Amino acid sequence: MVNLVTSDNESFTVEKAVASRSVLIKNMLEDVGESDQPIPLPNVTASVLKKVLEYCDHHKNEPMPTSEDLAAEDTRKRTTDIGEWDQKFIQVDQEMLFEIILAANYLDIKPLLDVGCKTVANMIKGKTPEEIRKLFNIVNDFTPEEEAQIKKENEWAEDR
Amino acid sequence: MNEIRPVFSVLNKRCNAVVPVSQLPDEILINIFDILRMPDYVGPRETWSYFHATLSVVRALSVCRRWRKIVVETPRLWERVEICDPAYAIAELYVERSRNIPLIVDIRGDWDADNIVGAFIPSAPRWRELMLDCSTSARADHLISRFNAECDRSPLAPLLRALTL
Repeated sequence: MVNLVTSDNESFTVEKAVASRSVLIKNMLEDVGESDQPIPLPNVTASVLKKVLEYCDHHKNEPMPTSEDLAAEDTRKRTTDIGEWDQKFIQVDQEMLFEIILAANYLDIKPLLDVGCKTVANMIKGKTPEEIRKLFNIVNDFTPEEEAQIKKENEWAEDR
Repeated sequence: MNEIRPVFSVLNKRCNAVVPVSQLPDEILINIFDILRMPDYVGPRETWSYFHATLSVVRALSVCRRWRKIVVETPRLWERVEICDPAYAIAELYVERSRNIPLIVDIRGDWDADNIVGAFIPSAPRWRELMLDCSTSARADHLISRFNAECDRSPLAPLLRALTL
């Protein structure tokens, strides 16, 4: 078993197979060898780690992505689909979604990072800039000059 | 009023810095913009074209200053330059944004060979794929003779792996 300690000082004791879905933790475990020492995760809060561990537990028996998988991704051969379980898992509010993405990035859990990024891409797809701003509470911070420039650059695309 | 406008822009930029999506670092936003260019993200596969991929990128850069900066400064998001209408200045801008990465050039519609040469020839050493769609063979002949004239004795597009006419 592995003991993980979050930024808000909460401890989680999990199976090694679950914790090792994180390449960061897997490497740490390999570096320190057999040890009861808790592993501090200063960039992850308990509420986010709980969610991340739920993902790791569900996928613990799957093979880890190989370097060939990562190379395939670079050439855009990877599928854009999100599995059914993952879709349900990632149905969270925006704040949690971004926290999960950040944690997956920090903990180096590539498949979870992919699920998070694809989910955000799904939210954006087909939307106009104004609809995207509304979705994420972004305000239009362009100066009138920048806006005019963007309009000029983009009219070929939006007119078609 | 004109003096106040830049102040609004600065204030709005600060507001944007605290919304949840702003937590995402540049490399993750780039990853998301990259996914948006993939076929399944821009409509049914059978109607998909690279135009839609470019449109996704163009829309992302119109959202806010940070997103614009990220998109404009990421050459791989501009790897494909499609010219359909005579928007040569835009094509040149996109070629410039792609900096030094290998390019896919797609030329369609009602184009003018001399303008095409002006917009694309400087990037010829980076062409990976060239697609040329034209209604008359005379126009294609003229373009190819212009390409040949530019070619001189050195290979025009050493990286070119696919040519579609």
